[in-house]
Amino acid sequence: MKLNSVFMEPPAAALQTEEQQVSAMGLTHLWFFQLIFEKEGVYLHTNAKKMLQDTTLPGFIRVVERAGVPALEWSPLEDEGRSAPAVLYSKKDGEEGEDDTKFDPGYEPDWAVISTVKKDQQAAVKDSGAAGTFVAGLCGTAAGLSSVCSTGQWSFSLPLSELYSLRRARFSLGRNFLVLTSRGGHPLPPLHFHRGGTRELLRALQRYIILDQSPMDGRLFLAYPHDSGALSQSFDKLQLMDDGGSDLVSRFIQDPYATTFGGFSKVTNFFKAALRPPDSTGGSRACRDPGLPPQADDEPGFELITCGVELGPRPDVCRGPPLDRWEEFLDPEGRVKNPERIRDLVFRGGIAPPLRKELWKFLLGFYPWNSTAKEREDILRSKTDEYFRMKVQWKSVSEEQEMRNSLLRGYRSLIERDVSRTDRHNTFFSGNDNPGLTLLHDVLMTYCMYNFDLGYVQGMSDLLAPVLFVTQNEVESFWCLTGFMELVHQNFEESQEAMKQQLLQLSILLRALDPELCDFLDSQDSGSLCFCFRWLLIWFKREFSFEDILLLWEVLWTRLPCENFHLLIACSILESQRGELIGSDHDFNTILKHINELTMKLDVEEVLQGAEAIYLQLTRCQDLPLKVQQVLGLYSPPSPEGSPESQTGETDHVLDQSQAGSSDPQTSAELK
Amino acid sequence: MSETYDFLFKFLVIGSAGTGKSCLLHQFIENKFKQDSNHTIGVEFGSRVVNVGGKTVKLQIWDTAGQERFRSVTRSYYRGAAGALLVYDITSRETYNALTNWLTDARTLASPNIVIILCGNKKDLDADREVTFLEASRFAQENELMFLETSALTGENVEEGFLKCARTILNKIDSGELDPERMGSGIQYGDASLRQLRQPRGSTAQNKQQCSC
Repeated sequence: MKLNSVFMEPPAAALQTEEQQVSAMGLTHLWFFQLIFEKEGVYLHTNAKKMLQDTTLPGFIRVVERAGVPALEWSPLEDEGRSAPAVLYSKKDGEEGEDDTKFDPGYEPDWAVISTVKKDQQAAVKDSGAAGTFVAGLCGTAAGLSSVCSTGQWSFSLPLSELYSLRRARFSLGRNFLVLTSRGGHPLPPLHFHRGGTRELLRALQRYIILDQSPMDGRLFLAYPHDSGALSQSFDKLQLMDDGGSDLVSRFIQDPYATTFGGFSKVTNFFKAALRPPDSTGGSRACRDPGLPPQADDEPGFELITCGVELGPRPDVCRGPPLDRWEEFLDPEGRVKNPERIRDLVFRGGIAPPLRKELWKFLLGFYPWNSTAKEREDILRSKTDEYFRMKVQWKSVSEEQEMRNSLLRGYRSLIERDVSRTDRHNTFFSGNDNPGLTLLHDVLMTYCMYNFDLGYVQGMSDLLAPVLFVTQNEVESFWCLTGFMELVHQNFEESQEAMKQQLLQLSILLRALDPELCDFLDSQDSGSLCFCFRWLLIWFKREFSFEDILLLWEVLWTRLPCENFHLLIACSILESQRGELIGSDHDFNTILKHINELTMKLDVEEVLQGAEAIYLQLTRCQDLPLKVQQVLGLYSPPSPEGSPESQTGETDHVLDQSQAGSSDPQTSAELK
Repeated sequence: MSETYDFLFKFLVIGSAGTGKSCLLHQFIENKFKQDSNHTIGVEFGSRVVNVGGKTVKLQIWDTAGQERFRSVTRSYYRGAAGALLVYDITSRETYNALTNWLTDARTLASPNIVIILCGNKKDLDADREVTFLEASRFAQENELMFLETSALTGENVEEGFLKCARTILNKIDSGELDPERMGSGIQYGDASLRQLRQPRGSTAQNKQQCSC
């Protein structure tokens, strides 16, 4: 392991250096002195036991740029500081191994924001006034004669071009120390890193020089200047890139991963596993995978076309008035004559509030569309019985029984906690001892009996509250909830696979719609769109007002124009925020904060209009990627089990119709 | 332009559902009790700049959903947290019993040196208490946690909880036990710490001496 990692380090450092050097070089014109790296708790070993003085001096190691010339410097703590070494020495035994050479992929998927910022800040520029305190070190660089300049007693400044070798060894106590040698052959006093930091120091040095590990001694590094010749040379020595050639370095800079892997794969596949960014970050880092062209920002002057699809213009969409007639759609027996028409109207404009109570029962599958009024009475009767049978089940569990049923106890306790904090602003649930709270509790408990495996999961109370508010009926709200849960129960499953799948599908859609926004989110480690979790889990319940969510949900329950319309709603909201997101200085944290704070600020009609327009725009695109088509339900891969009938339900039938219609520019008008 | 601070710490608020995690966060950030708030779905985020021992520290606090079911989601936010408030409800033994699980998660998934403070919340509901102060402080001792009883409703000890955690982290940085430059430490230097680099080093050394006493 250790040996492997050492091979990897120089190229990885070289990769970093390319960008960083450019920015550092730009700054040297403006500032005379620049602090690149600093670490305190570095003790200089004087080896001067005979002299009446400390043999170890606490101090600072720094990498600085003086007038653009990088140098390594050590300076002692001032007198007050020197009286404190006993206090400073407080490292725990267990942590000392930390400084060991470990393979470090050089990035932190979840917390990369922090490391990026830190890099900049480490390279922070000090003003020239501060440089005065280090005047001592300057003479070495300025004079250019002696490579090592000792001032005071022990402080030194060594230009990096003068560094010949560096040996990192481990003291018996477990702490690391470095022995530096200059090109003139002078050994410098050993530096003991009482508080770690050798690895960081090496990393900082690698911005300026290549530290090539000696094949004879794994702890010895030889310093080379950063020029292509030396880099190629060191690769030659490793004989990994047998096709060698003078373009190795340029290939490496253009496409580091591919070049490196190409060479190293000859040694072992282990490297690949170690270097490849984890797949768990979703597609966000896919563009860094070997074999793919470098990103646009790696290659200034070249435009990289990330999305091959040219989407046509986005059509205008008109929403309609809410459905406010009902009787005229029923035949004399009370069957709904044209369910598709009802769905279309609901999709386009929602339902007038007085009709919601009746229509939601159809939309949520409690009543079949083709049932007669008489049949519905029967259904209600039998479903009422069934409900109360399940309700009695949990009602009749004694306290003693519950003691032995941790699952039920857990569900009950969580339901009690959540009922008291679900939509308490709504009059139906506000105030203490509101009967609405009891209904919420009882229906959720009964749902646990209905689906004990799933039980109660946070978010379900959010789904039930509007249903209860509209139906104002315990039994009906229960069966409407089960209908709703048919559509979303996978969101609540332990594995969270459905949620991951939807986030992935959302990113597929967004990539096709707005690659620039996707790139931005990727760059902030937000490419997984995890900040949309709440939206998708409970269908935007927390994002809109209670009144708006009634409309949004009934639109979604029509399953028009495709089953994943909620993902298009998400796209619509994200697109509306693209300016705010890209324009401002957002990072992983503030993106989530911004998205969470959109709650109650969105216009439901605008969002729905946008979502439908996006749908039409995408479906009209001639060469829409297959993946996108799949998400939109325009294409389903042939199932091995054959029998298309088994998959075609009423929904698909409706879906087909709507697709047929959507290719027609008149759709919107027709539906109105 | 942006706020200046010496350090930035990533914090977590974890614990079972309904223990008052979001209310603690809200009380800390807004200085008032969050009435009628819905339970957290997914994660929420808040930040505040505080002054601890002469240093300004920006706390970035992640507030997570409490239900076991969502741990696979909330766990992904643990990474690289420098500090955590581990919350239980003093009126619910069940939430207290779950502490070991949360603790294991925090110690294995966040930074290994994470500083954790145990908060027995809902201190105002003393009449319904199911977990005694003594019992919880013993648990805290055994598990090397700091401990406070808090009330997000009255605000009692809320600020103290966050500050105590921040102060401990600062002390550990000063003593060298925590290295802010280590990847995933959950600690970041702020703009203000760069100003500090221009000051004579002696003053820093003095601070250290005081802190570690």
